[in-house]
Amino acid sequence: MNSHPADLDRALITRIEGREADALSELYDRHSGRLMGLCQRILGDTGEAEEVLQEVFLWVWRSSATFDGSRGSVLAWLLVGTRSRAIDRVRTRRPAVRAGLRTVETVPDTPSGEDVEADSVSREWEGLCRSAIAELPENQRRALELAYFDGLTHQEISERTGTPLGTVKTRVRLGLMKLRDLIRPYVRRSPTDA
Amino acid sequence: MHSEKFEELAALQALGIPLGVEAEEFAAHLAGCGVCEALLADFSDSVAALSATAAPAQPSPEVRARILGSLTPTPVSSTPSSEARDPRPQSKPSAAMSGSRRSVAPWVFAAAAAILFFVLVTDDARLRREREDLRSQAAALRVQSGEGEDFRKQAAALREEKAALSERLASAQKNLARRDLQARVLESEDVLMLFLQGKAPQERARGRVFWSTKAGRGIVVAGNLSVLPSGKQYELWAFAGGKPVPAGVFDADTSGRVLFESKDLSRIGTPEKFAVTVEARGGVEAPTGPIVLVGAP
Repeated sequence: MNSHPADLDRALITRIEGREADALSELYDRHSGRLMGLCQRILGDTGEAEEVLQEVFLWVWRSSATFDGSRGSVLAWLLVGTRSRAIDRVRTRRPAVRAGLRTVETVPDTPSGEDVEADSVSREWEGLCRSAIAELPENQRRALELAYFDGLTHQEISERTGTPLGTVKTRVRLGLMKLRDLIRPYVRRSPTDA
Repeated sequence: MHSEKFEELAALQALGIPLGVEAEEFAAHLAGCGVCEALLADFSDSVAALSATAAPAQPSPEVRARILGSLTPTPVSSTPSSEARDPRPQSKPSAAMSGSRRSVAPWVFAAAAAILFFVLVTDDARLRREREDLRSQAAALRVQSGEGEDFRKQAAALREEKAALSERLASAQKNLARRDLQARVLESEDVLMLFLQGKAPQERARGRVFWSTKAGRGIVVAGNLSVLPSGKQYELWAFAGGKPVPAGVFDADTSGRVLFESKDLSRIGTPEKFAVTVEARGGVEAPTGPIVLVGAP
């Protein structure tokens, strides 16, 4: 039996490859909340977020064979696919619309408490990640969030924050290094990291 | 040579930020720097962690219905499509694979190969010594510990450490064999390096060919290739006089990586370009399948 959430995810991907719609449905139930949250955080629009979510799961249905478990977990794969699609949308928006987006500071940093977490491992991971991010210096955290959630390039972050380009690069590097150091023990323990 | 600059580029790439004019330089560096390769993988995990600050949200029930209602029994894609892109560290900067061809000073590669060889041999010997030390320590602990729970735990930890060291040793040996293989071509005084660019539906595939006309052989190093069905293999083609000449068949490993040596091809002379196609296992005399990698001056 695949009792670990990561094992269960991989088993679902295998079943999806076998064209089992029930498996996609189960995968959706397990992760749609988190992916929807990511879409909303990036896009700031529920309708667009739902469109991207739909694109992502249809992509999973079509391209499940491209998932490579040796390169990361199913959840990480889903997050990458979701984020890249959402950022693509942001980048194709007109500047006026982009300017109207809510900033990352207006978005709550804590989960809503709704029943969107399927397992304690996921909660532990999220909690650890949030704690790690909270430990970052403000300027590093902000640079990373502008890149990750707003899809800004380092030049755009420099212009947005009025910070020299070299400083932005340094903040991004140091921020990711600190995050790496903080989450590394957990990543090594994770069975999805095999 | 590892530096903060490359660490910064690794961070930007992990975040999906285009590297612009530095993309090619970083790709070239990444190909030979294990530190940066590992750093890029670590940074990708860090980037994934950023998503945890997004508060989960429930989509409307209609989304689920729309998705499940639109499922069709389409054939499963066995190769990455453009939609299936995954900006994790498996990717190298695409601008670096633009098909540029360059002459590489042979002494640089010879020196690099010699240094690598020395480092790996040294590391290999060190790992062997460490493993023997651990084995001795474990044996001593077994004698001393008797039934003691603490000693049993220490022995278990040592066994784990020994297993990890053995794994590193195996990896180092594999790297050594790989570097030795590369060195045989790289030390040639006329070695050329050519980047290979992925073609649909394997746009994410990347590769390099190191070619020595004098030696009549080359090395293909590639990544992000799909694992083919058992009846298929990748086939390398070297073009001479506008015509493709078969230069050997190979398989990608389960991670989509390839290290392949093409031998005894002195008849080709100086190739005009290289391509990789998917063919029936064993290869064919003239290309029939889709091109997945191509590189030309």
